[in-house]
Amino acid sequence: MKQLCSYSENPEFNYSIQHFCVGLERDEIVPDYIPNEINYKIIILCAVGGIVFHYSMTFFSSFDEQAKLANLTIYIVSTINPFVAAIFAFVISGFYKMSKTFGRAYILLGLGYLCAATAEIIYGIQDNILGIDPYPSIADFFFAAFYIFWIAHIVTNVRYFGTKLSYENLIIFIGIFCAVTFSYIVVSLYQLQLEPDFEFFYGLIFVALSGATLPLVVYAALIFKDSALGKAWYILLLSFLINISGDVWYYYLENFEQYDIYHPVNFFWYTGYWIQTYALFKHKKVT
Amino acid sequence: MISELDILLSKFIENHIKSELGSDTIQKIKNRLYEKGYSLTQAINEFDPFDKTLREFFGRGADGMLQKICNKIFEIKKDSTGNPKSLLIKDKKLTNVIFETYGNKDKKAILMATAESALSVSRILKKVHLTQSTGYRIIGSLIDDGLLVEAEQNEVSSSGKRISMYKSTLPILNIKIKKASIEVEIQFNEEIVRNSHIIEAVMFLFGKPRV
Repeated sequence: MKQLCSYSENPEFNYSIQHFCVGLERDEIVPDYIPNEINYKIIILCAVGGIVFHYSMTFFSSFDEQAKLANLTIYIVSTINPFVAAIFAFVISGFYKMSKTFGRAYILLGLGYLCAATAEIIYGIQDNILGIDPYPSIADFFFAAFYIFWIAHIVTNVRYFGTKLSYENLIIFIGIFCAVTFSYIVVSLYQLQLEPDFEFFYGLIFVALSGATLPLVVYAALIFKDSALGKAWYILLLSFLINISGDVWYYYLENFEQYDIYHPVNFFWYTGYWIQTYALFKHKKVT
Repeated sequence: MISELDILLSKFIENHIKSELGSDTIQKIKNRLYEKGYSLTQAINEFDPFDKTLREFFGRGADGMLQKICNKIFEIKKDSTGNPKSLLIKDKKLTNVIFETYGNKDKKAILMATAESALSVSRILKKVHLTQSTGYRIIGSLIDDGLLVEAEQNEVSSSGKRISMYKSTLPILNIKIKKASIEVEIQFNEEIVRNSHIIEAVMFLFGKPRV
């Protein structure tokens, strides 16, 4: 053992053999897998936090004195959520030192969240200050850009790690896109009694964008399945499902002008962004 | 035994991963390999520990990653029977390093002197007629570039002291200049193919029969 652990001129050999010897001395056990367990308490906390926030604001809005403050709080939180996620994404990109895959992917994600935050600001100004209907408006351009940047983020990741897509997977992904889009079409047309209007087709654009993004998230989660990075992508997939559910419901509501900031659909966005921020943290912890 | 070609390729594989995924990621991969008792070079050379560690991090993404690594750094050309014939270097940095090295008279002389068998520094300097200071500087530069490596075997001096021996990593090269680009092709002989685990692993991974 002494001979094995003696000094060698080769630094690489030296490092690994000394590390091995130190490990033997400490009876250190090398884990079979890289530890990166999902803390489900955080996910539950995000969900509970979203519910508590939503219903507490709804409660306060019923009092005249607190209604304006509740309105303002909702708009601030709705803007801060994607803004914080954007800062996280840019900071992570900095840690990756602008590397071709991870660095660029996180810059794109940060830009996407920044677009979402911009959209929320414009939406809030139009609704609260200018008193005009914020749907449809220029804010929607930024909401659409959010999805496009998300798609670019996933494509940048998947282009490096992905191999040729199988026909089975392709069919599943087309199926997911159709399921998301048709759910909106069928439910909306049924309520609209088969007379689609401008809001229907306008909302369809955004539903189609979210429907196109979801299969890519699923694809990335499949690529990284059963790995340390796979855990982060599972959390991301969950958060995206939550966000998309909110989006599809929102555009359905806008067909009948039934949306307001106290509608339960907002819970999906609060929770979705918080869980996405947690997923970003998990991703950086691994790599 | 680590093949000299594998030592050279592993250096560029490391640089490639660093440029694609960042230095933090390559450091975490190295740390994980060290936990298992491997340096990055050893792991790449044996390939199985490197492959397994990538799969721990990236799952099936490791397949795509290995494919991209191979496509970006080198391409294995095969003969009519499907056996590896030569290795075309695609990494521009590596191509430029090789081209510039062989364009330098002294560096080329050292590499040619050590192509067939490993030599100690003193024998290299004697064979290529270089002074100690110049010779050590050039040998250091070749080692940094990965074109000269310390061989497994060592000489023992008359006083019983162990003397390091050095060998060129590139045995037979074809350097072609096509319009504005430089192409570097390494010809294989049986010994290179037999010793290089990276070549063997790449041939196996991408559906080709083992050599």
